[in-house]
Amino acid sequence: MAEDMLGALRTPRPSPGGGEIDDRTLAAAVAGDRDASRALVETYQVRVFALASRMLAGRGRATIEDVAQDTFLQVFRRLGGFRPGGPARLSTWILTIAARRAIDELRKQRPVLVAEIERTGEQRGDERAIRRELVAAIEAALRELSPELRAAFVLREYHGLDYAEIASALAIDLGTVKSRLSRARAALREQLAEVHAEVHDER
Amino acid sequence: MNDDEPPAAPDPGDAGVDRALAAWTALAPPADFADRVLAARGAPRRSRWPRRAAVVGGIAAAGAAAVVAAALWRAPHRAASGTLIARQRTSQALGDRGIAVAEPDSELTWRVDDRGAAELTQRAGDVFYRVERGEPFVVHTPAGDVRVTGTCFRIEVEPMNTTQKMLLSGVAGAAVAAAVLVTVYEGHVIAETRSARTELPAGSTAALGPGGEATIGGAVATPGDDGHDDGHATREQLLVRTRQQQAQLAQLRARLAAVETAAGRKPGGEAPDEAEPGRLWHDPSPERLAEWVAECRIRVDEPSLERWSPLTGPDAERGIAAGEVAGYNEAITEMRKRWKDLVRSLYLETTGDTAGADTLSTEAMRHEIEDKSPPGESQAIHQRLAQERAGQAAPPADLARTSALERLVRTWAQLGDQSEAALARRLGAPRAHAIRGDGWSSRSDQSGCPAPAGGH
Repeated sequence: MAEDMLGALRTPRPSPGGGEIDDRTLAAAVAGDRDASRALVETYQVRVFALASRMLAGRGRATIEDVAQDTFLQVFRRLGGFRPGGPARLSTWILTIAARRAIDELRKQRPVLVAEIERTGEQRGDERAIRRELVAAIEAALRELSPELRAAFVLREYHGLDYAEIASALAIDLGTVKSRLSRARAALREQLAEVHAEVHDER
Repeated sequence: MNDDEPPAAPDPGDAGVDRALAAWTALAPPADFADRVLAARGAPRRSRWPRRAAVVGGIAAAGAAAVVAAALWRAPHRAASGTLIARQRTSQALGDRGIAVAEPDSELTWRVDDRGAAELTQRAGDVFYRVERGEPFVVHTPAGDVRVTGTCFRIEVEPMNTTQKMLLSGVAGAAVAAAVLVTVYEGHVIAETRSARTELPAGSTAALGPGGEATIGGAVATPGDDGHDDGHATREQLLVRTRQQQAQLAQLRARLAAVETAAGRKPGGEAPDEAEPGRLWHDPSPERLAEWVAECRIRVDEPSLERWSPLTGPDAERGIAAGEVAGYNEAITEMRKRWKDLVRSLYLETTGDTAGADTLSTEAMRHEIEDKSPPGESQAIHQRLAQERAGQAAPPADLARTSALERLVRTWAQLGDQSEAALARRLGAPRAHAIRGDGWSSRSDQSGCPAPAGGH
């Protein structure tokens, strides 16, 4: 059943995951130490890729890798200005840089290939097909958002940033963040209802 | 539940949203990602105007020359950007990253950042590229991306009937469909589409389809690439194949020499956008300005106002001493604000979108103004400005009556001089002139004339 198939996807939500590097490693990275710099990249790279690949869905792996690499190069250039005791965690600070870099990429209005949802007989109704449709629904809902709000949505849903952190990081009004994210979630709910009904009808 | 009697579909609600979000897996970083970042971070920078790294000749020789060259020329790059809509064969330097030779009806935009990374969009036409080795060099085409290191290659974008939905992100309803042909003369190229990633060696050609498919065809094996069936080939067959390979390579080299001659660029020669002897880059001679009228070309430099951040200390590259940092920051901040205020007002005039004016970056608002302008207006403005700069036409008597795009472009074209003047008010004219040097950090050549009446 469609409901059961959807139920099969009850994998845990990706958590913000990962920790933070310690202050000593951070200081060494600021000083240019290679091992510390490597530790920094390895600690945060999964989160940066997660953010970039969701914000830039449809733009290809090469673009996502470029954005991720640019993010870390910017991080190293500006790391001396990060205050370990300040209000932002290092992960939030790095994700903010990644989000801004991805926003720049989205503003370039490059051609994006819009994937058609294909349903072959052998794939219909199976978990993979449903997963693909769910993802297509998310991507369709996110396409309605401006680059800033797409960043806000991903930061909120996948990286655990609160509204105030997002508003501050992206220089968007707090009320706008709340209302537009609420609308985005409603749009996603609608998209999913359609997918859900279609899958259900086909069963 | 009985499978024969489908129940009403329940609303997935928030639980469904959560499941969907869980289903959306992210891309993982490649295993060597940290190595790449550290290599890019530690990479020494290249010279502002490097000599050509590649040498026309044997492929192996060119490769060796490039390696030596890359090791010799290290210093910062200079940001550059531009657009080109070619009505005739046109050679265009791409900052210090390479050269493009565009055939008629080609459309190209490019941006080279201060690290030397180049990003181009080729929307139409047939363009030959020679690329210096260094930072990433990517050409976006309607069918996919083409990325290279140092190489010579050509991209042809062929219009096709729309067979697959390809939307320009953010431009609802604009449909584009094209097939793209990539030919590699030297080095190697990676062609990447939605569904395929193909590495192309020298002498090969690939077609990228609008559906994301990539097809390698007409491959020319290089001497020494014996192919997979050599164990079964006779000596005579191998000799025939070698002769064919040599003939094909000779053709490719002849083609390469021809386009380079057309580009006016000989091995060891000067890039066509370099400053004339005895003149600054941003101050071309009257003769050159007159030549540029034919291609509607204008040259602009400005201190990267949209991406600028204040100096935190002396800048050795630009020769800004510690005591000058505050004045420099003040001057550029003032210019940045003036530019932002102008773009914002033109954006509001064009779109009426007050919310966007409060949230969009200056760059995004500028793009919106450009995108909303009628086709061909940008080329007409370039033409007028090129004529005015060459003394062949007078500026409009009342600029306020010109279009938003024209006011935008005219102001942008003055940013270099205005920034120097703003700096002169703080540091004095001689220091401002010296700090600007042979051009601010962002340099751009814009060319492309309006289509002739009844033409394209």
